[in-house]
Amino acid sequence: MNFAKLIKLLLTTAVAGGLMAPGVAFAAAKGAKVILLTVTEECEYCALHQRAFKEVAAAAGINLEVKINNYDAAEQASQVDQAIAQKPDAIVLWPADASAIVPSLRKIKQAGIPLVITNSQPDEKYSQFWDVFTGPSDIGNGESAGEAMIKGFADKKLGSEGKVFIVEGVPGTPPQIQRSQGFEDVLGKKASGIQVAGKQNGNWDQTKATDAAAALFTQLGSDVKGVYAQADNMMSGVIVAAKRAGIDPASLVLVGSNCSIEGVNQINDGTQYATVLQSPIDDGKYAAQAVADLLDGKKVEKQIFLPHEIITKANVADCNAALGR
Amino acid sequence: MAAIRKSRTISGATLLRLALLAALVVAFAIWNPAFISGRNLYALMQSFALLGMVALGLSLTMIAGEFDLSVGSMVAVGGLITLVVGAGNLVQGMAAALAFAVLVGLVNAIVISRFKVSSLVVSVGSMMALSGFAFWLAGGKVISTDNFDLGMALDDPLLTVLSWRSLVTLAAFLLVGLFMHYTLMGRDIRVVGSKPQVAAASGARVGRSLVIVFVISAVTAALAGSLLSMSLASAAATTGSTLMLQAVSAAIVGGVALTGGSGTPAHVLLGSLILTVMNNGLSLIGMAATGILFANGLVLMGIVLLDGQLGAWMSERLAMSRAANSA
Repeated sequence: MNFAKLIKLLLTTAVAGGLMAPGVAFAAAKGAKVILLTVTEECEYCALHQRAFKEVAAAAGINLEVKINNYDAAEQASQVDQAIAQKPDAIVLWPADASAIVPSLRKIKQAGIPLVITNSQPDEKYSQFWDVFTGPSDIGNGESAGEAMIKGFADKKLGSEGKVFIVEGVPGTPPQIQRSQGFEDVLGKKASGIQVAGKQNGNWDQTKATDAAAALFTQLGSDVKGVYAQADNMMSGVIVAAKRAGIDPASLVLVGSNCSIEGVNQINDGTQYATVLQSPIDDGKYAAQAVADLLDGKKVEKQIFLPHEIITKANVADCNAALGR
Repeated sequence: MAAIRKSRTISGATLLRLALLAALVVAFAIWNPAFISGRNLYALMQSFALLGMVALGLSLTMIAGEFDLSVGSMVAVGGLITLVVGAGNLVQGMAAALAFAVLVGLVNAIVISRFKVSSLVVSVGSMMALSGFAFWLAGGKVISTDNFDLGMALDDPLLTVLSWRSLVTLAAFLLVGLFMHYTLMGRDIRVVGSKPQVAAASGARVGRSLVIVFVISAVTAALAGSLLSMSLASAAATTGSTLMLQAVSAAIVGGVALTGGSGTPAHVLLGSLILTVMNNGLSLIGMAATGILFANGLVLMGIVLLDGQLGAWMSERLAMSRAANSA
């Protein structure tokens, strides 16, 4: 009995493997069923990403279903099991947690379903489990922020030395780790006098970021010349903390990320110096285009990164264009 | 003979719940045939494995007339201890997590029974302490492991719809069910829950009953967290934050009373399956997460309202039917 089951399993696997030969798709994008497993609709970036994804998918004739997990890794694992049960032509997945998703990626691979990962790339050593990653390069994002910090020091004539701190996203996640890494690498190579003197978690949340920045302003005092917040909504919190500490935000080099509406408004006001453009519309579009191309049997690169343009007051209009405002 | 026969018949309230479960399965299967596919039933049982395990332990404290608010935090701690202590050997990590849970359960029970403090107050304290401990263990980040083998073995499908994880939960229900049904201690736990003063006077072992229910509650929560951390190869301090409410809902939906003294593991199994089937089915037909939460609330309220009315009516009809047959 076990031997018969084993034979059946092997034959099934062989057939599935054959049907899913690399570069060959048996379902064109038009009419294909695709399931998008995404994190939330409650952040602006996430909502814009999803909307852009839906538009490109609809234009390609894709029959789309969306499932949201509110950043709950266990819920997303359950949704993956259910999505596999629905036998879609492809899955697009925004990991709630880029580590916890790996066992689920393996299941999708075993089921022979084409997979596009969007926004948060799991560790590349597991890249055999997905077909395409599209989204930001968080290293690149951090590097752009580092460049902006250096430029800001020059523009505001703050000299070549001084302390800055970083307000980070959820700890242990790739965006948090890699943005800081990119930022510090650039400063280390090009402006070694600018020191990262502190880091605190803002968890992508303005309120949490206010507390984090307040602690660092207290700790570092008047030595602070700049702040890198890994997201613009957290920079809003930094600005509140700076004002409470009696520091004029405009006297600091404040660099955010994502071109959120908060960032755009703050740059126009002159309180924030710069942000890094990471377009949620491009993020969503790239993922939808990748899955459509995959289903149409086209050659698709393994990694497709978003551009990470530095935005200051001079080109802040690019933000509005990129976010469809 | 008549009395014995009566005590073994299914109550009207339970029939109502069985009918609800059957109706849900039929409705979802008609709405989307993928609901009864092997893979989806597997997904359903995986969700049941997590919720059912936590609900089973928590419900024992409810049957004993108490409440353990700390189960959600214990899920997180169980997962984190498994990965932190078990960095090199996950089984050792799990053993450490379960040993810690026994200790926490003992402390909770001793404080409640010896110092006569309300279990709500004690377990709120435990919840906060465990939550702080979870954040300390996590060190401000998500703990992950590259050791996927055990988690994958736990999750690989067995007989298409089961896995070792769901079998562990089913086995736990069986063991606790046998314990509650066939042991004097099981009887004592129900007596303690229904009539505290009578229990004390008649010699029911109150202190020991509380130790058992709070230790089982902590251990099942830690075990659920431990198995989940292996499955996800990851653990976080916020894991399980919504599980306590879901577990309470499962117990009440299944027929365990908040006032204590009534309900069995079979009722909790039924309640857990109802919620899991409903959540899975609603997700499958495309309902948003917010809609699913709303539906959970409606079902819970509906069950509680009907229990007093329709359940009693059904019991009365069944009694009349039995009387007619025996005439």
